[in-house]
Amino acid sequence: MIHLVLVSHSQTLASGALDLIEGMVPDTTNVTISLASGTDEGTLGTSPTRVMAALQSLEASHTYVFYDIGSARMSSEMALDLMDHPHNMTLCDVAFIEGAFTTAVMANAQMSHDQIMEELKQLKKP
Amino acid sequence: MELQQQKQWLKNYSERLIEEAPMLNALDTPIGDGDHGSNMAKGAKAILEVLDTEIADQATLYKQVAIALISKVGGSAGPLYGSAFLAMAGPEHMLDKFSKGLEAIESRGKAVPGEKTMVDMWDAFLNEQTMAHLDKAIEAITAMKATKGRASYVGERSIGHMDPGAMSSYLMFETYLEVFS
Repeated sequence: MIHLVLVSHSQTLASGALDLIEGMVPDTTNVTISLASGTDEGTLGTSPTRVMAALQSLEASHTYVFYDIGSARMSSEMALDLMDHPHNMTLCDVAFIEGAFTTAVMANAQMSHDQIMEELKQLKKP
Repeated sequence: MELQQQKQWLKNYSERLIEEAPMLNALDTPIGDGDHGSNMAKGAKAILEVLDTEIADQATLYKQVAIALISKVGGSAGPLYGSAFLAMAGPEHMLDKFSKGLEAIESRGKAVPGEKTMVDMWDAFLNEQTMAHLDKAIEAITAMKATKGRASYVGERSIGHMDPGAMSSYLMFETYLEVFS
């Protein structure tokens, strides 16, 4: 199982991204998507502890983390630091929606980690 | 350094953050999302809860404070201050702690001095631990142009505007000097 974690300031944006990917990739037998969005109070923001909870929610062969803006990156990096950077977790410094969508498509088609990372290179954030 | 003194400082700092939340929000509004004060106040409330518990030693104190900030703040300040306090949990004396804290902020935020961030305030404090120097530093930071973080998007318009992150760090050092001088 491949695990995608979407880290967003907004619960609406994260669940919208999930809708979009599930709609465009109807067969997701190989892919599970978790959300780490908003704060504990439900306000806009990100939290390393919520990212950690999402990362730990599934035993996956590989976990790919996508993040939106600002503190989403720092919160994701901190979560991975606190977990001592498991070798099978990758923080993807790529466009949020396109990156998650591309990875869902490729993972579902059983493409390898290297193939996915190669494709994601083209979606790198500026 | 006495554990009791460190707790007093963190208590004063948290109370000051809660008090000054509107001011920090106002500073954050033209250049950020206007929530630095509210975010820090959430962290401060969580720190006050930590201070109400039994704390055996200073390592536990700093770790608990870090966890409070990491889980409650909600913006970039959470991982930044959280990383700093985690790095301060070692056995070092206060100035060396702050020096470790600064390293952690620089590494977490990929920031260096001169970019108009809280890094500049930490850097200034490590150079000289007086109120006069802190006041001079906040003026100098205000005159800088932001080249890091969201404030950098407004470029020249950040000149003359007091940085909210530098200001929340100023409050930290100010309360530190009140307790430790």
